[in-house]
Amino acid sequence: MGSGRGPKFGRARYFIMNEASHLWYVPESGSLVWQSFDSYSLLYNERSGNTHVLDPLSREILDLLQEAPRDERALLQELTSLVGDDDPEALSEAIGEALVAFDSAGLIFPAYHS
Amino acid sequence: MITPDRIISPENGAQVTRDLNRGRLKFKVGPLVARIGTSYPLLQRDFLDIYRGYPLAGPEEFVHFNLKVDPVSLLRRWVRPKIIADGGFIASPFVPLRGDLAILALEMGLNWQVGTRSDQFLIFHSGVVARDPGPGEEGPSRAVLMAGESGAGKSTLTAGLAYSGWRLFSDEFGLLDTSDLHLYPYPRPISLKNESIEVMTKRLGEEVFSRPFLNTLKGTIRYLRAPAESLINGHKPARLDLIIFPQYVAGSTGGISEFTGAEAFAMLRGASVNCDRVGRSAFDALSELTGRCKVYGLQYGSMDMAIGMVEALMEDAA
Amino acid sequence: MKGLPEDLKTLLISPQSARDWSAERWSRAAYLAQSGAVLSRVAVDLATLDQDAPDQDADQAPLEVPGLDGCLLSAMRNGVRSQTRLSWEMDRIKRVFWDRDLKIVLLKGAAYLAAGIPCTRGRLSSDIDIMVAKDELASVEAALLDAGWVSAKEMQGEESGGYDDDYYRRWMHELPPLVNSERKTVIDVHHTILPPTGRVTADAAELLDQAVPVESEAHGRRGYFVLCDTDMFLHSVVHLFQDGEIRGGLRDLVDQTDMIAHFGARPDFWERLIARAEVLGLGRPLYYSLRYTSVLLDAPVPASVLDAARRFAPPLAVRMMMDLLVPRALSPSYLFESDRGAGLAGELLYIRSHWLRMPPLMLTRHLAIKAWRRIGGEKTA
Repeated sequence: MGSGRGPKFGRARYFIMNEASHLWYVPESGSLVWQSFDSYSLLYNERSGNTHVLDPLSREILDLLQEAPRDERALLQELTSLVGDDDPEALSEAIGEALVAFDSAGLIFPAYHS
Repeated sequence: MITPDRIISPENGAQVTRDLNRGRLKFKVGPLVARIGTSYPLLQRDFLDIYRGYPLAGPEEFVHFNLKVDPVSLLRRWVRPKIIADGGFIASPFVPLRGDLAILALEMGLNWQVGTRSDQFLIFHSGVVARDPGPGEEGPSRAVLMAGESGAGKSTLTAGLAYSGWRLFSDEFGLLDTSDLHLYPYPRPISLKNESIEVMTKRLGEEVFSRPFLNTLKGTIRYLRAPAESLINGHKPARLDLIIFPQYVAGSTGGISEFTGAEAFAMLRGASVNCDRVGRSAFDALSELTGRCKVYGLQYGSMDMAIGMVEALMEDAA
Repeated sequence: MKGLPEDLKTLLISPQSARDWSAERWSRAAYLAQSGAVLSRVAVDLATLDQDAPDQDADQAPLEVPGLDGCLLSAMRNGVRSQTRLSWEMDRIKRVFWDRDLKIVLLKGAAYLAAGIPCTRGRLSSDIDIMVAKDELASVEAALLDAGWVSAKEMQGEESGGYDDDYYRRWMHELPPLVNSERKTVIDVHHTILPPTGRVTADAAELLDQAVPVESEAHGRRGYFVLCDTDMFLHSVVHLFQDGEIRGGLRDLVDQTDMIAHFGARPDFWERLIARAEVLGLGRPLYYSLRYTSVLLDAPVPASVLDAARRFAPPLAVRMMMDLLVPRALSPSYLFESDRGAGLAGELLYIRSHWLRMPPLMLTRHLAIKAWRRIGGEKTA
């Protein structure tokens, strides 16, 4: 469901090329339509016409970016204060993966620090 | 009230044939009207046989689909005949078929048009049957939608139910009105293949079947006519109450598993043909269905077992 | 001159008069509109009329043909879907170039959408055309290939490169088309709006220079541009009457009619248009556009402008031939009333479009190489 990474030319490479230090934001968040089932969130993006399924952590990350543009480090700080810091590496990896997936689905857009 | 001259029948066969020749034959399949033309006599005969009982559409009804089914050239009318369905501007992916399979060209051509150009409905690739309230009973007609991969047995199960007191909606497409979550009938002849033919002719008798069509791409095909009752009530929608993903497993003693939440949503979405084209309304409808309908996987080993299970699940969904 | 089918014209320019049509009339007209790829637009217009006049008089009664509302809803959903796909594609392309100081000019459908030209409503096309400076072509192509686009040829399992690719790069005004491997949408990257081989050429640098920004709050480093009004109009004109086939071009003629209504009120638009066409050597196709939009679709072209454009007209014999062929090639026909003439008209105009696009000798070369490759035992299946 939704759009995964391109089979041959993933965005991952592109993402790394652009460094992880810039901000991410959610463009036109009013066009996101949410439905919750159990602990999962379903998301319909009116801008793309795509549907996505988000697990609770991904949902949290997208909510944070929707609140205000943040870079990867800021996300890690926020989430550490929410879920604790017993495995910072796993958390950091999860955030990185979520950002790649969101970026590839067009849910977030990069911007420079001003 | 539908009178015999308003349906396709052997009595008005000459008139229907004339209309087919002139490209003026208009008939109704549920809420949709198709206009058909063919000058190929064998196809005209098969059409009359398989579409017996279908309501004819009057001049007051809008035509949704137009289809000509004719030999690819004058030569191919007589020499190793080749027949192709032509929907005009609608590009269809079909290749010409042998003359004796002309009715398949018509069936595929029509299904293609309906599947690609009926986005007023959220379409599910599924069989659908419904229970109407009995005489004196109150309440809406209630539908069960049977989705799943080709070959999982949904056509056969649909056929079984349609001849066991349920009203046939479709063995091909479930047409959902996203505004009220009602399904509309799309009662077409049910195409049965290979082993299913034997099972169902034993069960229902030869009388309700078309002649066999041999050596098609999918082997042997026979069309099972839609029950007359389903055609006469073909305009009445039903509330969608139950969704199942049937799976025939030889020797199975029956099994049921329930799907809920995001998983049920994903399965339903996967069964939909045009959710991308319908857009936001599709998302809203799928979300609401997921919250409201029971969604089951159903494993069965025989037709009677499956019918019993579907009836019990429908009872339970009330 | 033969016009468009009357009911089709009515649906396009005054759909409110179709309210009391019979089912039979609607069935045929809706087919023609669908065939001309304009039913979604008609559906949007009818829905808008309903919205604008909530308390209906007797003559504004809702459509009473059973089954028609479903057909129109389907068409409307398709129009919305198409526009969503297009705007999404614009977003995804912006993502690829988000940190580059690159001037991207949207063309055709994407430009109409971004600039809010009325013809964008219900317009069915999700392929995207952009223009960049010629010396940016290579880097733009590389960036797209890196971000998930592939050559359209490769997508179909053919090898890219080779003669066809060369042909595009050397003689046409665009890169060979690229397809996004995930979304299957096609992008054409142009560096001008006319083939450099055509007998008339447009000055690409000037087109870029005159382009106007369309996004007030863009994401990414730089917002999109569109061609200025006269150039946007002339591009559509060139596409229909010089570059393309005319056959099946009803949608383009509708675009032009809408642009005429939209731009026509701007000060000096007509003077600037005529002058610009003169400079770019696009007088002839402009003449055709003004003639056929006004005759076939009642476009509001001032009489003085039609007069002024007459100097671009072809010799009488050509004019008579075009008057005969163009309306037929633009008119869809109903499946059950075949029009053999339309097919022939389309063929003739197709040959004409190739002839206009390349010097005669080169056309021979192009067709000969194509034929040679077929004979040479390449897979033809």
